[in-house]
Amino acid sequence: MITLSSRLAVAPHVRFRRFEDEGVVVNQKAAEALVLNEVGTRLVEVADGSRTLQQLADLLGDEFDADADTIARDVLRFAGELVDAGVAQLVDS
Amino acid sequence: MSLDRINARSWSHNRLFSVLIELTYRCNLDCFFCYNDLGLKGTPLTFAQYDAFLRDLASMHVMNVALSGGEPLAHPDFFRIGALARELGFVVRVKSNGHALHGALAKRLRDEVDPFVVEVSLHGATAATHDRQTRVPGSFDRLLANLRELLDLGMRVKVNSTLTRWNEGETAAMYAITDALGLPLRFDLQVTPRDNGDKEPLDIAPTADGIRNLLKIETERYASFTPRPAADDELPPPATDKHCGAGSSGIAIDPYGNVYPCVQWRRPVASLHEKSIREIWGFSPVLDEIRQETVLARDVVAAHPRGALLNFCPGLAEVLTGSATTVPEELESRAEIVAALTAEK
Repeated sequence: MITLSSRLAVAPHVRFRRFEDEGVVVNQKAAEALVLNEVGTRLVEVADGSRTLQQLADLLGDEFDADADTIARDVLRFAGELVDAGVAQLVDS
Repeated sequence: MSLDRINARSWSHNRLFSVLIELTYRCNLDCFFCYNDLGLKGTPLTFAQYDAFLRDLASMHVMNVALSGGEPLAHPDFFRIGALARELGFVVRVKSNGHALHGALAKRLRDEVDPFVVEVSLHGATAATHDRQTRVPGSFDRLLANLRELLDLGMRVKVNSTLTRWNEGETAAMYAITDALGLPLRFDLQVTPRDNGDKEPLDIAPTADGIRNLLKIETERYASFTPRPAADDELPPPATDKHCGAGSSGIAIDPYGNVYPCVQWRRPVASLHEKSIREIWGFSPVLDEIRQETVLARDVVAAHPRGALLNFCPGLAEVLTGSATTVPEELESRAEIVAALTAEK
């Protein structure tokens, strides 16, 4: 189960590039491409497995000047979607 | 948010997105209609130059890198360059003739380069036809064996073919071969002159009947198929003011560091021996001209009565007519065939 204590990392079979304020993610295994919004793009950029989702939410909250609860909820939901899509994985601390 | 929209923005904002790198013109086959200019002289790029080039591309957020040739695996540093491209996060495509892709080499390709796709060429449905094209006996049987091996290794493979006078009677059988392997096959209807302008390859350009037959076969096939997701190089043209992304979202590099707007459009832009790709991309007056010509090309196609059926390529037009915005007769004739088939349907 994914929680704010989980650590997230982009999967090794995934390629990612920032494209202006959006991002393109290519899942090489599934041959699928996703286009991410600004917050999703930033989350993928910083999701290296070293920080919890709470820490990532704090970081993004500062960068986007967003309400802490709202950004934590968004990060949790978006991280779940990335895991379900095979783009990211949860890593042990 | 669609990838098509990203594609459109890369064209209109001149955001370099895809780069084709011809690593070498050396090849273990000897195809009759090979478009490479084998007489081209120059100083090959060193590994250090490829290293700097790829790092520049990564810093420019380029997504796709295609390693091509010649036969790219014939380059002595192929695996170092491919592994670096992987490490730098590119989506890597390898365009190979497939002749050497077996055994340890195929495993190394998978494990060290991890390409998104390997594209190989099939030139006929029989050894007689395929080997006539490649001028290497046994290349047909070897390719089929290698394709099975690549699939066993779990690699994604795409098969390309150019329709010619020699293979136009075998297209249905070629589809049967790739269908049996579960591989996509894509035909190019255009035999092109060599990059030095030599038109000898056009001697085996397909006949009108050959084109007509292939299009009929494809119409029947695709009518019964569920559409598959398109690869990024198969996306429909985005809605922009340009005809194509040559010099706007893509470029091609030859083994000697010469930069071109695309693999087909061989108007020299600059040399990587003299300038970095970042400088070239931002400040080349030739690229500015190319980008303006792709805008004009869009208008030419829009005004043409067979516009959408032309499959117009400014690079090919420049080779065949001397102008990137003049429609070659070859394309006019082919568009008429397509129009007649569409009317029948």
